[in-house]
Amino acid sequence: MKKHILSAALLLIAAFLVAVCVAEISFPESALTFTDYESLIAKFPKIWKYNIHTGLASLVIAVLLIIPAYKKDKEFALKGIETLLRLGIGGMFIFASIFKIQDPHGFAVLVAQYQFLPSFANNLFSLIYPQFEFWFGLAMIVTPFIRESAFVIFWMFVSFIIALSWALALDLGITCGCFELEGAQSKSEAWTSLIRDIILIGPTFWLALRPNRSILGIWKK
Amino acid sequence: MKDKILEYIKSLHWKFLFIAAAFCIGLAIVNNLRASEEKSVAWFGTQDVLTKPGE
Repeated sequence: MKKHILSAALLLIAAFLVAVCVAEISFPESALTFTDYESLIAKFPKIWKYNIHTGLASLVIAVLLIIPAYKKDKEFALKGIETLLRLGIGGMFIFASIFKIQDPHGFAVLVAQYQFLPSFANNLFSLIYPQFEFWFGLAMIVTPFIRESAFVIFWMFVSFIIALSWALALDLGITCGCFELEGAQSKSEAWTSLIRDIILIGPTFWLALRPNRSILGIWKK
Repeated sequence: MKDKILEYIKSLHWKFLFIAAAFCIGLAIVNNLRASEEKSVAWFGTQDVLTKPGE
């Protein structure tokens, strides 16, 4: 029991730090970020520039915490990691898709800025893709089809990485279109989105190899 | 390696994938039909490429 509690505590702290990482990199002015706190900026005026560094440091510490959690109780740690990843990645895709589903025109404008797809396909892609994000994100959380949902989400990450790399290589000024719908912006957001997607594709690949079972089924004997 | 990849692909529930994909496409159509005029898009086509702002 004690090793379960210790392992669970380490995993929860790691999950919090991963949330800090995602927030610092993707949502620089949200409740979970530290680099834009007024008290911290008063002491370190330029700290707001280091959100990516803070995010990556949080991720490194999170990974370092997972290692002792795993060594302490391997089976429990794997169950905990799978649960947290399914909730986190599935939830992220659901959240990311809502704005795009609500405003297909706005998302189509963003997709057009990538100048990647043939022009006849942009609008159709903008209509269908967010639905895939939402429903396969939801499937990752509520259905036992983890292999299939993670398989689809893995390829979505591949497509995001290709599209962002394409936009950066061609020096297009775009947002990633991931969580907000705006016009053409600077390319720094594209870099942070690319870093985030490269980080998250690994755990998604791992989930795609897990046995099919619901989140509750993970914890059943 | 190739055999393992093929084995993995075969192990997936393709029925679930195709049904889910068809469901998504259906909902996308319904969403576009129900969206207001300023938020909906033509089925085929694209939008304008905006001017890149200064760095």
